[in-house]
Amino acid sequence: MNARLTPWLFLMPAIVIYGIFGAYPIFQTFAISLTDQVGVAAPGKFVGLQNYAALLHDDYFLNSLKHTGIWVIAFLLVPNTLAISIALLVKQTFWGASLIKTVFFLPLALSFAIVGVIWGWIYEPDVGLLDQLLIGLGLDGLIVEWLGPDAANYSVIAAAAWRQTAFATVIFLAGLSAIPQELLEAAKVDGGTRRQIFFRITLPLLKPASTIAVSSALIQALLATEIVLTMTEGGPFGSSEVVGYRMYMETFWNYKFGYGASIGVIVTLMTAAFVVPYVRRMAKAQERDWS
Amino acid sequence: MAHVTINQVIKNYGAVQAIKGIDVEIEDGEFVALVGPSGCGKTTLLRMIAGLEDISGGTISIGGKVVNGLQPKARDIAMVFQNYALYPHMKVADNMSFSMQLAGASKNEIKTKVEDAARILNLEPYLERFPRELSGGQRQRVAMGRAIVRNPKVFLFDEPLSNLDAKLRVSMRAEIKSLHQRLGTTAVYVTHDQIEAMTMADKIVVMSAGRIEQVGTPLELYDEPANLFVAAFIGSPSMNLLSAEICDGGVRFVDGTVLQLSGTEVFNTDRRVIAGIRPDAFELAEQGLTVQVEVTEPTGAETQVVGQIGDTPVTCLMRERISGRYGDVLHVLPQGPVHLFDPDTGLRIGTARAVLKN
Repeated sequence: MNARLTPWLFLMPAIVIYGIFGAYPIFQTFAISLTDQVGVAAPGKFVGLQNYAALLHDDYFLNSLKHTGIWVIAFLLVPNTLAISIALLVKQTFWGASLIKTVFFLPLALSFAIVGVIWGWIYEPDVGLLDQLLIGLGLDGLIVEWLGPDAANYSVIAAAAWRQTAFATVIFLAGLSAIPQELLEAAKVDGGTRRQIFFRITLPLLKPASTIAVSSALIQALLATEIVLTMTEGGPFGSSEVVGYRMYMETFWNYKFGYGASIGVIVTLMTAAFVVPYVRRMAKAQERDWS
Repeated sequence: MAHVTINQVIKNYGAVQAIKGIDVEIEDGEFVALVGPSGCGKTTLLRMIAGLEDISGGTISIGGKVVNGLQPKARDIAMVFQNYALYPHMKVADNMSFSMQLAGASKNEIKTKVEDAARILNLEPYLERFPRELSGGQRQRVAMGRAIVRNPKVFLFDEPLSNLDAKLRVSMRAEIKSLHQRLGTTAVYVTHDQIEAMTMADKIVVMSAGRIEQVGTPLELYDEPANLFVAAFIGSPSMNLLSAEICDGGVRFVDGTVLQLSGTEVFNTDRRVIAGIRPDAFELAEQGLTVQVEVTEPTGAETQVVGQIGDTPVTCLMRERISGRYGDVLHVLPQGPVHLFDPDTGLRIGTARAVLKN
């Protein structure tokens, strides 16, 4: 067989699947975003970049963009920091460590939509778990209207972060166990304090794990939709709307397929702009450290 | 530089006692090898000296100061690990100076020390490289450089050559030995390779199952093994161990052959013993022990004969070029010392010499 064709032949199944389910929809979304298509009955007519121009003046969209920005910042910081701490903690072998691990991993078994439903109950005013807990602890003063206009976006983020933390913990635990014990011992003999060893040996060597955890956090934050749908439906008064939710509403609620597709393209571009350079840089560092 | 005193040291892992009360005295500037088979506790002992394992009982002192409760960094030791343990994200120079960076040394001081160590180890061209860009031998040298830069009281080596190929191992062996002679720092070296221990160490500690079998210079262990374990462990190929009993003027082997020996007079006749004879002590003879040949392995300078005396497997190293085949019979007599061991306790009870018959 032709030696130059062989690799392509092996890649064929992946290319076909990616083509049908990846490349084609992206291309199609971009094509639709340049039309004024309404619903699915008939293709719309070509309107150039009009949809994108309209987005710049769409207060609903700009509002959701601001909320998504908060999602990105919170998602980068909170779940990853928590996950590293938890991973360091449960990596120690102590009695009950595997039970604790299971508890931390459990949220992963739930989809974001289900997480939204559960946390919706937790945030329920007065009778919800959170309020009951605070009342029980005598901390009534801390109670706010969790899903009210001021707190809703943050409350939704907290619920989503709960699941994201579980994911990142799994990743960081795997990353920690890939660091040879000898390296940490060498650093100990070299005179490192626990803090120095963490920041100068452990953390740099967690790069492969952080690449996955950070890019996953970015993607999940930018695409967040279903948890918003099941928890708040973007409300109250749009206070928890995010771009994914806007895209869904414009497309499947208002049937403005062309307009919704333009939001989809923006989300795709934002994701690519954040994630691609990051993954590239980390892949380079990884190649240096782990071969 | 410092002397290291290990006093009645015990290590327990749960109910298992890995080290059962060990005493070793390591003099200032001495190169001591801890040697023994896998699981004998030699690495555990080294890690206890380093402070990477807790000490369950007894004391370890470095330079006269008990270090039991001290962290590794407070013990003023440097360790070379089996897999080098180089930091993969740091260049060679940073790997070597990491301890100084942590201690807050000045840039100039770090530069001078790293350059000195690099010169000693011929690492100057590689200072700006990452560990992955180095060969196994170079990585090993960086690991030693990291130890040298710290100028510690004691060097600890944990089987540092076991990942290198045979040829490189021999040259690194010589390099470590000459390095030790130049620096004069006390060194404790763990290995399972008795040749490494013999060639490098001033003093060898032979360990087995958490106990010390014998402590001595390489030649003391070779010439006067304290017991069967040391006799079989030190020397390559291993000493041949043959059942025999004392008789008038020598020993009688199981097959009835009598060997005239001087030095057996002190023992009662009929006492059962195990006679230990080094492979190179044998010489061909008209009469003597009957070796049934299994294979002969010529190496040029000598021939190694593998066979059996009675039911006991034996190895003989002959200077003659012998071309024996399976089933051939040779007669051999020991010309060197014959070590006599008590079969019950395993202890050496004496060393006799063959009486030459002409």
